[in-house]
Amino acid sequence: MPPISYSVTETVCCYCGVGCGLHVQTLDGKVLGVLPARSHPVSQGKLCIKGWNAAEFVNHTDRLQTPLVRVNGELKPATWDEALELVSSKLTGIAQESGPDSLGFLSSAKCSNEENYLLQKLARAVIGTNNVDHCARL
Amino acid sequence: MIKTEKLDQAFVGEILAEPGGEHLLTCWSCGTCAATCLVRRYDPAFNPRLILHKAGLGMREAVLSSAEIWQCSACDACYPRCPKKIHISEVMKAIRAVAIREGYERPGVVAQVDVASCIACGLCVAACPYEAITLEMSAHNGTSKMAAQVNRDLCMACGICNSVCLSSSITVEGHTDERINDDLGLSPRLQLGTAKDTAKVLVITCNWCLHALSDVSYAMHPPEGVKVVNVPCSGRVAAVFLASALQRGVDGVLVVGCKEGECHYKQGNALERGRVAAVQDLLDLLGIERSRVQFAWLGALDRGQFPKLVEQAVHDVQALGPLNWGSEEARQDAR
Amino acid sequence: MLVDEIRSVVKDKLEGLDGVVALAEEQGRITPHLYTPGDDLSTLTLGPRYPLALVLRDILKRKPDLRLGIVARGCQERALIELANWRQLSLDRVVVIGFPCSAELAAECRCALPYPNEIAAGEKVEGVQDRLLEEFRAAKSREERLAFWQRQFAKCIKCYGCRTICPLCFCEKCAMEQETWVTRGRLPVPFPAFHVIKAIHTAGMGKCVGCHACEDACPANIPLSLLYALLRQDLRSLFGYDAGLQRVGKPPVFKITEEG
Repeated sequence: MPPISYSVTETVCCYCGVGCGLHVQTLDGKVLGVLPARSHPVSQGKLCIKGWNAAEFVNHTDRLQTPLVRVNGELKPATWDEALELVSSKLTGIAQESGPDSLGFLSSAKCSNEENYLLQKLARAVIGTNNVDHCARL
Repeated sequence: MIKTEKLDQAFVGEILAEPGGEHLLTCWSCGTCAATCLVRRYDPAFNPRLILHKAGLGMREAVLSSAEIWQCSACDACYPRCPKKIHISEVMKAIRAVAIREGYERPGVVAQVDVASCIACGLCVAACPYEAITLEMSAHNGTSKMAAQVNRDLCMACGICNSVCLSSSITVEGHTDERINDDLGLSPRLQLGTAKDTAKVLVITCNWCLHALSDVSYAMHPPEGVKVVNVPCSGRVAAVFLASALQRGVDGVLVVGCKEGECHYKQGNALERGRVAAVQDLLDLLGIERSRVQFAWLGALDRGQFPKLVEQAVHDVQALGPLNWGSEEARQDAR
Repeated sequence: MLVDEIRSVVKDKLEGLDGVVALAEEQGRITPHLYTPGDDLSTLTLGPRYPLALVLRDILKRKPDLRLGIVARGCQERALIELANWRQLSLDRVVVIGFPCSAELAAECRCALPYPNEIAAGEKVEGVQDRLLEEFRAAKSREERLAFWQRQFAKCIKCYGCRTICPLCFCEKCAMEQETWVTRGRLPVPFPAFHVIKAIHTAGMGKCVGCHACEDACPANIPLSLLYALLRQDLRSLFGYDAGLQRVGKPPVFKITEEG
């Protein structure tokens, strides 16, 4: 019998700013589920409903596997370069045409502090707008 | 007129040879069974005396092709009253066995299993009064898994299996949880109920315990604040039903079943009585008055008593006042 | 030390098994772990109370052919036995490496049997007589009980932790998630149908083994194990049944048609 690979990875929940400790269980490389990290100083073995389901998206059928670009009203797979090129040209175009304040930037609790910092830097320094807000306000 | 060419003595022989069918010819057609029969009360087409008589004459086709041979629910109300001590439900079983051999099938609705959600725990197998369910390897998603399987020819569609299944993976069309909820006006959307002076009481009665016409018409036109719904057997009412009803603006629930020994489906009423007692215990632990959930029985000799039962329950619940679980105090405290 | 003795027993047993489920401690972090033959066992810890039976159950569900061991306290062994009674596990493929709980933990859990049937090391301590039912009823009038539970359940955020962590909650389609039974969209819950269903389906069915995993997982610190312990006492006095105490084969709820 080949060796069983059951492993538990201690990680941090990505759904909000509290950062509860998660134990993600994997069996043969596939995510089995989530357990609360019992000895985590912040969460102390407890989770909210989002934390309990934090690993659901990993193997979900709806999960995006490639960037998608809308062509003639239909979403079509694209490369990262194509997608980023499109986003960059559109954003710059709108900023030039209607002014930087016609754009808004929404950051996310799922992102790290560093990623959120980069986003607001993009908004303020690159595009030139103060229209920065957060997904919690949606 | 019975045509003698259609009489088949071999048919009689087959029934006699079948376990349970030995006493077919002992019957002297007195009709006591037909007079007692609970099924006959609702469907006059069902006549156990006539079935045994026809079978005893050898009327093979007439008997085997009839829908009536499948209707006996083995409540055995007739058995203790039969002067010849024939276990009539066993004779019915024997006739069915012959029918199955000839390719006949029970008509109508039977319990169905949702193989995807069935976890093969075996609770329904233990609960079925007719031993109609077994655990088998069943096809699922290109592979197979253990799941409950219903023997169509034994199932009486009482729904007791549905009531014990923790995930309602076995259901009977016509009285699913959703349909009963709908009938009770308990839509899934949250209802706080409007404050009124009358207590809101749900009454769930079994099909068979309303013996008098006055009982039946009262059930169809109950007083204000009372909602009455029918299920095939009081045993159909799952414990979670009782608890769940209380969250939708209802102040009390009354389940009415047949008297001890008179259950159409053998033990459904006893099961429900035990269940209600268990739910009452839990409610009591939580500080909710026991008499908000009640079980009462209506026997064959209790014709016309249904209104009294309902009125008593309403009176009891009214005296308790509305069920006000989510008090403002508790909410404040929690903050 | 108890843990050293257990480690050497595990090392021994691993020879004939595909793995042993236990708790591991590394740099202060405690995680469930599957030790396989040849692994270094120095990280193995007996740890706090933890629903290891759940971990074992989930692994065996996906790989039923494995022969696994488990380092188990009394409650976890009882959970496994009860899972077998409900046909969710085959005990033939499981080897229990039992160890006793300390007297302190037994007192905290109000546990009458703080040890499994057989222990691989250590000494069984006496259980605590839990007179909870009488004390609770005596201490609190109906109104006080109501106020107590109202306050407790008002804290519930419906995280479903109590259900997900319970070793004996194994339904694919959970009744607590069905809108037919539990209304959606309001917190605090206007009526604890959620909790009543959980209580009926676990403790009420004779499945609850009192492992306290639910309470440990509750972010609102609702004393769930108190409610379930009260129900279990009821079941004990009515049917003489205690979950997982013996390979009963038929918990009382299965004897419906016999007893009525």
